[in-house]
This record gives sequence, structure tokens and C-alpha cells, in this order.
Amino acid sequence: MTTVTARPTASRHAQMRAEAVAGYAFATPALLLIIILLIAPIIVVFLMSLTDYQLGALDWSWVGLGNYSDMFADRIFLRSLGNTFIYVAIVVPGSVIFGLIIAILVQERTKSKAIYQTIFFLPVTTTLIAMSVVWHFLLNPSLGPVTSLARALGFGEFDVFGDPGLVLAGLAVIGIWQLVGFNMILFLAGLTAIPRDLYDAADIDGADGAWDRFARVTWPMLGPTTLFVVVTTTITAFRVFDTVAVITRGNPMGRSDVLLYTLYKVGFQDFNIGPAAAMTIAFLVFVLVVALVQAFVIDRRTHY
Amino acid sequence: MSNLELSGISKTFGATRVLNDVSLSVREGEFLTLVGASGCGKSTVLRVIAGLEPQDAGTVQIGGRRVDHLRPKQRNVAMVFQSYALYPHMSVAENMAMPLVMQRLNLAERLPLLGRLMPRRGRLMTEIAAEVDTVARQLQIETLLARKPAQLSGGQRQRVALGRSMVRHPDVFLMDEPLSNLDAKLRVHMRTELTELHRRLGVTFIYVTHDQVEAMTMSDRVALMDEGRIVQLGTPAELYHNPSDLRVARFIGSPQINILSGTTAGEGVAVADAMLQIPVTVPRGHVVSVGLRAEALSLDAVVGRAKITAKLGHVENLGAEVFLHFVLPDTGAPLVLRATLDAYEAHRGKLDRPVAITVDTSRALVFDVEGHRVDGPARVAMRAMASA
Repeated sequence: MTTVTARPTASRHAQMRAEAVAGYAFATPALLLIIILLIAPIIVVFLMSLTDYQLGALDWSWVGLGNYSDMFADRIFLRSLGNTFIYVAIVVPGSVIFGLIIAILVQERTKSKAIYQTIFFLPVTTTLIAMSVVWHFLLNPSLGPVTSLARALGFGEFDVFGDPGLVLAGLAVIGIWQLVGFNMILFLAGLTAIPRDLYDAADIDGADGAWDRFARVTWPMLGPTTLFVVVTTTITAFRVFDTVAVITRGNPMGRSDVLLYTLYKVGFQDFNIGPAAAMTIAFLVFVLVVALVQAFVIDRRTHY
Repeated sequence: MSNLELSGISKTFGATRVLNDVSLSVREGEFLTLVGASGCGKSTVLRVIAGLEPQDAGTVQIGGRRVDHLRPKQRNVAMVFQSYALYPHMSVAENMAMPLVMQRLNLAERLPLLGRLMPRRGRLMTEIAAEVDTVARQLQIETLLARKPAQLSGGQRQRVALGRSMVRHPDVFLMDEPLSNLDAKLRVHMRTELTELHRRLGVTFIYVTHDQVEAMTMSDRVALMDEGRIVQLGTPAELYHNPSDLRVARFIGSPQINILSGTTAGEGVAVADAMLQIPVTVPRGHVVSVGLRAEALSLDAVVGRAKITAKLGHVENLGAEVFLHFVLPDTGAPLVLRATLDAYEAHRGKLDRPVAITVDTSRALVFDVEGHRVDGPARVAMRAMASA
């Protein structure tokens, strides 16, 4: 009796072990890639942030958290952090709201929908470096057509990228211009997923005005899309670099210094790898926080 | 008194004619079902009545007034959708309150936060909550009011959708396949419940379904639609016993009516090895279709009645009765016979050989090649009287 019952149990254990081994074997390649491509570089950067390593130097030594305390005492770093937050605070609402408005307008077109979609999506497909040159020209105070037009209309002179009060707003407009198309596509996908029946029900219930349809059906149903768009836009806006590097280089008077541009200057112009690595870690933490907010707070609250 | 009147409704989507001159007069408090295969235009009729789809031609009258120029909310109709179309972000109570909120609160009072500051809002919302509660009690969903639709079962969602349509006391209830997303058992239960609800409310119901059983069991009258037209409008019994068209005969009834090919001859119609003595309006020598319901056939020999020879195929035993599936030896055409279990047991011994099936000629229906009834106007009228 005991041998009869013991044998299946033993073989079941063996089978479970074999399945577990097979499972790990299948997961190993992916795990290795994640370690090599994601985890290891982060650890290396973190280790570098604890050193005074200079690019090309032969000697280096551990400095502990010195780079971090220097960083938070550094006025340039704090200024770029502040500028980045201002930039994000303009670009995120701007590109999300315009993306939503354009998506709703485009959605209601029938024949011309594809054309409008393509036009608004074009900025996404362009190289921002090249487009920065174009924007630089367009807004150039002496040569640019936009400024000539403003002058002709009597708005007076202005130099967007030379004016400390305007420069971040100017860069943000370019950022919005580039992101609106992408957000529009995401919102369009969200809009198509709203069941037609809900609008019919809203019509019959009396919610048939444009505002009521939006407030009672469209906006709540777009909840998950909107939060996804906000998170991706925040992360993208946080990484602003191209326009600053090409157009303003942090000028005027450091008013357009942003996090990644400062990081680039410290690391690749001054070759101070240690402090640059510390900034990279700081940048990573901000992005991570945004991603975690999405994963744990938002996802749970907006799915019905 | 007519509560709802459609006259000459036509509707085209692109090149397809979805509705073709549909006219319909529905009495106050009637339960009228539009039935037909998918794509026959029945849902479009409902959407035209609701005002969700403007018709290309024709007029709609509700309660004696033309509503063609009115928006859905002004027609005072309520609609239950197949998908229920509940607002997923709102609780059951909010879903049900929606029509009343939209009716009674003005734009300012409906604003998300500022609305709370408006003087009338509190009183109106209390009134609405009380009315929602009353309806919820009638539907036995008062314990679910705080839940979101996602937390409800199919049957509960169905009730919430009904509740949302009831709170506003509409002149007409429009129901678009409301039971087709439910499982079979619940569907049968909800059929009874809807019929009872209709009796209690005494309001006109227009019910759309593709399920002939729902149409037969629930309705006062049924309109069978095909290719954008109403083929026949009548009581369930009229449609079953006295169909005016072959399409109606085929669509209504389970098991499906037996259709045999026949030829008109001197004293009636020749079908297989039988001669059915039926007066027809078609000259002799023409091909016709003969419709025989499963209960118009019998295994008992009756003197003077026509007989068709057939061989038994398989047997469906439903407990109290059996469906015997026969095959005609020459053509291989199927023939279903409905018998009581006792009758089946009595004849069981001889069923391994071809047997003579007795035909109740008075219940046979004859259609010409276009599908129109041709077994004499007198017979049609007589059958109409018999079924009334």
C-alpha cells in the first residue's frame, strides 16, 4: 500500500522539479539580457557616481557620496532642475490638452481624417535636431519670418531665444509641437475604443450637447488613455535636450539650462564623469517615480 | 388609440436600402415585437423611432404628435440596448439617475464642483434619489445602488438598464435585443419578468429580437421583417397558423416548418406519393411549396386522410414529446413529426420500415414560387378565424 501511494508522489515531485527547471531555463535568456542591458549599466553608473573619475584620466579614487552633496549645493544643477520642472509643467498640459482637442476634432472628420492624422503626426516623425535649426531660423529676431510678421502687425520686436523670460516658453512650444501628434494618435485610439452605444444612451438620456457628451462619456472613458499619455509625456518632456543643445545652449544667462544639457556639459565637455553619473542617477530617480506613480496609483484608479 | 405611428419610413445607408416604406401602427400599452434575421432592418426601425437615426422619408408620431424634428430626449422614449450601454464610471444609482439629472438640473447645477453651490441642486438631487430608489425596489436592485456596472452580473446589469429607462416614465419603451447577452436559463426567466413588467406598467413596448421564441411568448403582436420591409404583422397565433408568406412560415415555429415541393393537380396538390385535397388559386401543373407543421403530421391512421410514406431517421426525445425526423425515400427531403411520447411508444415497433404518415390537410399551407400563400382566400380567412 505504502509503495503504491509513495511512487506517484515521488514522480509528481520529480515532474514539478523538471517543470521548474524548464521554466527557469526558458526565462534565463531574457533575464540575462535584462541584467546585461539594463541592470548592469545602472549599477556601473551608480558606482561611477561614487568616484572622482575623469574621462581619460589614469587615476581615480572613491569619494563616497561627495558627488551627491556637491550636486545639491551646485547652483547650476539646481537651476537646471528648476528649469526642467518649469519646462515639464508647460509641455505636459499643453501637449495633452491640444492632443485631446485635435484628436476629438480629427475623429469627427470622415473623409479627411487620414490626411489630418498624417499632418499632425508629421512632427513626430521628423528629427528634432534638424527641426530645431528650422525653428531657430523661424524665430530669429532679424531674419525669421515669424518675427517679421509680428513686426509688420505691430507687435514690436521680440527675441524668443534671447529673452530670459521667454526662452523656456519658446522651447516648450517646440516641445508641444513635437509631442501633440503622438498624443493625438494615442487619444484617437482611446476614442475609437469608446462604444457607440454609450453615446446613443447619452442622447436618449438627454446628455446630447457637446459639453455633456464630453463630460459624461468621452472624458471619463478616456481616463486610462489620458493617464498613460500624461506619464509618457512627462517622461519625454523630462528628457528635453536636442532643442537646448542646438538652439540656446543654456543661454541666455543659464535660463534654458535643463537637466540633461547640464549633465552633458559636465560629463562630456568638462569630462567630470563622477558628478555626471550622480546627475544621471538623480534623473533616473525622477523618471522612476513617475513610472511608479503610474503603476501603483493610477492604474488601479482608472480601470472600470 | 394609437400610441405610435410610423408611416412610409425609408432609410438608406450608402447604396443599401435598409428600410423600405415601413408603416406600423402601435396601440397604447401594446407589446409589439419586431422580429427578423440580422440585417433585416429591425434595429434601424427602433433607432428611427428613438431619433438616433434620421429617416430619409416618412413620419413618426408618438402620442399623436409628429416627432420627426425632435431630438431623442424630447421624444420621451427610453431605450434598453443589447450591450446595456451603462456608464462604466458611474454607480448604479448614478446610471439610473442620469435621465432625471439631465431633465431637471440646468447646466450650472450639473457642473462637477460648482454645481454643489447652486441653491436648487440639493433638493432636486434628493427627489431624484428617492425616485431612483423606488424604481430600484421594483426591480429588486436596491442593494446594488452603490456598485459600479463592472461589479454586476449580466442579469443585474440588465435590470439596471431597465431601471434607467423606467425612472423617466417614458411614453414608449424601446428594447433592442435586451436578452441576447444573457445565458439561456436567465433569458427564459427575464422573458417572464419583462412580460410582467409590461403588464404592470401598462406602457407601450417595442421589442426587437432575432429570436422567434421571444417574439411568440412575449408579444401582443409581432411584425416579421425581411429586407427592410414588414412581411406580416399579426398576433403570434396568426403568424404561426396563418402565415401570409413562406418567409414567415419558415421563421416562426420550432421545429422549423416542413416545406415539401409539390405540383398543382386537378383536385389539389401532389406531394411525394400523396395527393392533398386543397383548393389553390394556381393553375394545374405549377410547382408550389407545401408547408406542414410538425403537429399537422401523425402516425395514427385516420380514414380519408392523405398519407406520405417516409423512413425514420433520428429521434429527438424532449421528455413529454418527441420529434421524429423522417426522410422521404425518393427525394431525401426531411420531414419532422411531433408526437407525444405515448404515441411514439405505440408505433415504435413498425418504425424500422418506411411508414405512412397521416397529413392533416386542413392545416397544410401552400405557397407559390414567390412565397405567397395560394391555398385560397377562403381558407386563409377560415384559419384566421380558427386562430383568433
